[in-house]
Amino acid sequence: MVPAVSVSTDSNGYLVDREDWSPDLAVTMAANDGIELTEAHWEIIRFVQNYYDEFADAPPMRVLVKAIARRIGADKGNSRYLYRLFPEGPAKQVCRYAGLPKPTSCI
Amino acid sequence: MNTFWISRAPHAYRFPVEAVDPILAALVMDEPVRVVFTGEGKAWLEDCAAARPLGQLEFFDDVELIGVGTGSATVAGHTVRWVDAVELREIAGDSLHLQCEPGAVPESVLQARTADVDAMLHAMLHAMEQSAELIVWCRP
Repeated sequence: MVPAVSVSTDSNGYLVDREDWSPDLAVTMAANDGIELTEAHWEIIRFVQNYYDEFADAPPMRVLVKAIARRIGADKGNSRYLYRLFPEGPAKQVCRYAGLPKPTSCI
Repeated sequence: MNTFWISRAPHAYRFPVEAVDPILAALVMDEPVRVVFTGEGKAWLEDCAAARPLGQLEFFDDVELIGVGTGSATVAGHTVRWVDAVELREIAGDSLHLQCEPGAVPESVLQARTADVDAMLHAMLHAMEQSAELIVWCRP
């Protein structure tokens, strides 16, 4: 059972303050979208959080694919794999679950 | 070749995330990119912490980084090539279109876009010295 939380988001559901983020919140966000987060999801969520910490930027889709391919592997750094995990649009969806801003120029 | 010119105001010690967007947009379309740092923009090359968004260039191969002047720097795995005024003018001649202007660009620069290369280069460098904002240039 995920505890109830109250956080501020923008009109697209992205956290206003990243400090509000928690793993439980990500689980809640995903559950609201009908997704049960698995280790495969968490690997990508952690990846984009580390990416943001490193580059101060939320990666748009095509950059995310290239970055994952370079650092994790081509088997996961491709659109098909990421869309299976995050069907609403991987970059946007994973950044929302990760407590990051919406990526710019995102498909 | 997409050529971006980047300078900065002395007080803007962090590289703006927005400035890297058009560069990434070109790269994801598999178009080669050249980024020229001049004026105060060179300082970013020497301070990777301030230029964290530029680190994303490591995910792309077709990147050429150029610094105006002399020195040594490596950004996101790409070695910066330093050029003198003569080569800078040659590069300027390949970059006559303004694509992105996060900050205000002086009218003299906009007018110079249609003038000859020498006038454009002079106005551009003057603007970079005087402007309080970032200037990003790009060839279409």
